[in-house]
Amino acid sequence: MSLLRLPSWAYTLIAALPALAFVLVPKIEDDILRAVAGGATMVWLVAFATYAWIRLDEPSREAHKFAWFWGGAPALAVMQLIAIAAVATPIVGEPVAAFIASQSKNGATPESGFFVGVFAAAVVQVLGYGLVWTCWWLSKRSRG
Amino acid sequence: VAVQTLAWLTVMKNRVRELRTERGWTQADLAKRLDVSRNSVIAIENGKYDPSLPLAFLIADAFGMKIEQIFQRD
Repeated sequence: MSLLRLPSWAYTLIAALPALAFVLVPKIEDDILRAVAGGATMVWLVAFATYAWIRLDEPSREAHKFAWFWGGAPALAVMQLIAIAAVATPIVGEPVAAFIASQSKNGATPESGFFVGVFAAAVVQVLGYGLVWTCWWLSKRSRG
Repeated sequence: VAVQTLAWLTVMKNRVRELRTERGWTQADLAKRLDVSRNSVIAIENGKYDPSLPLAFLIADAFGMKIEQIFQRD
């Protein structure tokens, strides 16, 4: 099998490995070296992720598009509603502030709220996407 | 309502499973010929995924037939 014709998931794995290494290995102390390593990791990630998409077959692409639209976007909308409700009402705001405080050593500050909010939104979006992606494929496997 | 606006509601049927088994090919064999995943072949055979024109042409080429001999409106 040619290296250019591996399955799409193989290129996804190749794309993600340096990014995982960048996150998991001990932090590079030198600022310039860290910036260069981070930039190279991003270029590698984008290049192989793009090729993984090119190698993906048509129904698999459709599954991803459907899942982002009907899973990822609504999940993000739910998080936006929670954010609005947290600002507008103490009933929602207090547990959200407690959650933010539990996730940050600095407590529920605006900065920690921002970072926890962005991370939580991304996690929920991926969960919504994953759920719909799984349902899409399961629905296509049934006859009739 | 114009007919064109209802095109996405059109139910298609196909003879992919029938033609594949006639030739003694497995789903994996057909997937390899089309350069798609086996899951994609299953989805098309089950009538749960209507391929685009380029993929439909590839399927027709694989069987040595015309598109309309494989895909019909239900």
